[in-house]
Amino acid sequence: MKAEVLKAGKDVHIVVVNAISAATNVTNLTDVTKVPVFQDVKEVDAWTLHAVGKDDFLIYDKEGKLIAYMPISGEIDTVLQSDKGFQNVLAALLKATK
Amino acid sequence: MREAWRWHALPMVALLAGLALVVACGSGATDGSGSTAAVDASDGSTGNDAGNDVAMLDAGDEDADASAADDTGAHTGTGDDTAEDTTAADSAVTDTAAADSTDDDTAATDTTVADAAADADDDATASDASAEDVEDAAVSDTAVSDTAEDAAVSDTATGDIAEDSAVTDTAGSDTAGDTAATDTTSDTDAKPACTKPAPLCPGAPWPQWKLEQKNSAAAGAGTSFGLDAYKGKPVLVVFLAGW
Repeated sequence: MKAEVLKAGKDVHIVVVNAISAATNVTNLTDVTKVPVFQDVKEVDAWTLHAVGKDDFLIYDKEGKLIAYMPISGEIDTVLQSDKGFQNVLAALLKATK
Repeated sequence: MREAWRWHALPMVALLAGLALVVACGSGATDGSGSTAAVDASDGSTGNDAGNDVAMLDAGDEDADASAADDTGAHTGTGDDTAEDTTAADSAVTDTAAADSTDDDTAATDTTVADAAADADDDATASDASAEDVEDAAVSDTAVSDTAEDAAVSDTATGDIAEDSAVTDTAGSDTAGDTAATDTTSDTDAKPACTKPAPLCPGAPWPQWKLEQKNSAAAGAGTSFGLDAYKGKPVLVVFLAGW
């Protein structure tokens, strides 16, 4: 995803927040990606602060304001393994760079 | 000897005379009692027939009127037979009862009709109430109209302010002021109400948290920080579970 954005002449940050319940398996993520992976904890509960669920996407502008909320159960396909889902997320990310 | 017979015959004559008197009185009492009973019976039957006939005529029922005519004919044709008169009277009573029942039914029907009429009146009253409601609604509408007028007054006041601003604009940098006012108004009208949780509404700032970054392949591994570190570029935040 990051490579595709760079290919388009844009740049973005991509970060992952791992679920509290999956803390012991965080390496399953860090072993396969180079993006920052934050481990959520009960004391913070970042998922609840963001009001999101598993596999949801949020896109913030460069000032930290929300510009897109893409839930996994939403109308837009966001499953990255599928070409359509990947393209949907990529398009939203490129739109955020304008 | 002749005087002795006289003294013996005198009491016999008196005795005979007394017997004759007693016999005469007894036959007169019997005749009077029999005629009185007949009169009483006749009066009773006549009175009953007359009462029944009036009652049936008052009933106004055609069947009851025919029964009354039959009763009258039977009574007249039968003559002085008390037993038949009594039977006729009983029949008349029965007919009258039927007529009364019919009459009562009719009356009940009339009452129902009257009730229906009353209901109609009630309905009319209800209609009146509805009319009043309409009037109330009209009053409410008038109130709304008043409110609208008030709004219009407010608009007029706003217009006045705008005119004042125009005066101010004429004196100073008018274009910038006008543009700013217009932009503020249009932005307020364009934003739809967000029904989602506040953190998910457009324009919501990201939450302030600090978590440990676990990926050694990325910057800041092993340290805790938040999203503020990524300001300056759009940020895609993905929520995953690494199990």
